Amino acid sequence: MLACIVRAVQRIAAAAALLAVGLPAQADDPMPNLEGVWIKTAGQILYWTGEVNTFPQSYDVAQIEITGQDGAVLQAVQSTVAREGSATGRQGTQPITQGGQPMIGVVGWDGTSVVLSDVGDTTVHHCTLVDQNTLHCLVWEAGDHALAGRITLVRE
Amino acid sequence: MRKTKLSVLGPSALAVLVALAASPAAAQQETPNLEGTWTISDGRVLYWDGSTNHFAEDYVSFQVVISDQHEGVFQAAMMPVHDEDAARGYHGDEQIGADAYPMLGVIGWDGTTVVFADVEDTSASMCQLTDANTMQCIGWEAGERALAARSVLTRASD
Repeated sequence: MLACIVRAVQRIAAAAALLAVGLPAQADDPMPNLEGVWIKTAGQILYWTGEVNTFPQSYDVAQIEITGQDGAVLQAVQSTVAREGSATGRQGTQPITQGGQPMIGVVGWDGTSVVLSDVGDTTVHHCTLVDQNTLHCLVWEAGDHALAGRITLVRE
Repeated sequence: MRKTKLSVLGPSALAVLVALAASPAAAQQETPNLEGTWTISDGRVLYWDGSTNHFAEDYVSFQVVISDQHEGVFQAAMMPVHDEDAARGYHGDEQIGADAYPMLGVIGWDGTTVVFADVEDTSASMCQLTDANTMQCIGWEAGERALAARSVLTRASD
């Protein structure tokens, strides 16, 4: 009888531990440090022209460098160089150049939601940190140069 | 009886728990095909001037056609037909008529989050796919022609 109770308690403890691993980050989790270079390794992006680019095939360079983090807020620079024959987005009204496009961002209270907003453009990335080096992002911009896409970012 | 109680946390149950623990909510899931004609069946939109529209009472019909899905991205067209006296928003500088308004869309890596972005207008919507043929959406536009909305989109099943 006692052995049965002990086994039951052990199983409950094991199950609780496994569930805890699978739960999303809680409000009191430590703030993740996201600084570093994040490479766009997978995904698609659809432009207002109807063109679709895929990651990483359509790009020579497609990355976001989070250059600074102060608590929950971030500064970042996006670098995008589309391969010849691939679609090119816009930064404001101008075609994207090889120079970096500035972004600012924030980590949510859950420690896993991340928003990155373009500076000088209206594109936003809404991301989820799925592990410490992987972000799953939805990206969109409404308007004359609309786009919609999803991107996996992996930190180098 | 005692054995039955213990079996609740037996090997098969533990295997399920292991699988759950290994699958964080945002992990990559299969991408559903959303092509087809969706009808807005419920919800409300509030415009910058305080006027409102109710779905579907203030519309003769309001369809969203999703086409040309390529993996996670797709093209869409919004086709509202208002009742004659109903309030209506703007698309860019033009008051909404009975045209087809283009949108771009994307399905998130979780397989259930969907975002629509208007083309030539600054409205966007974020939706959750609650089953294969139903999406619950919130929409917004900031600025001079601001709006806030929520809606339910239903696809006619075959």
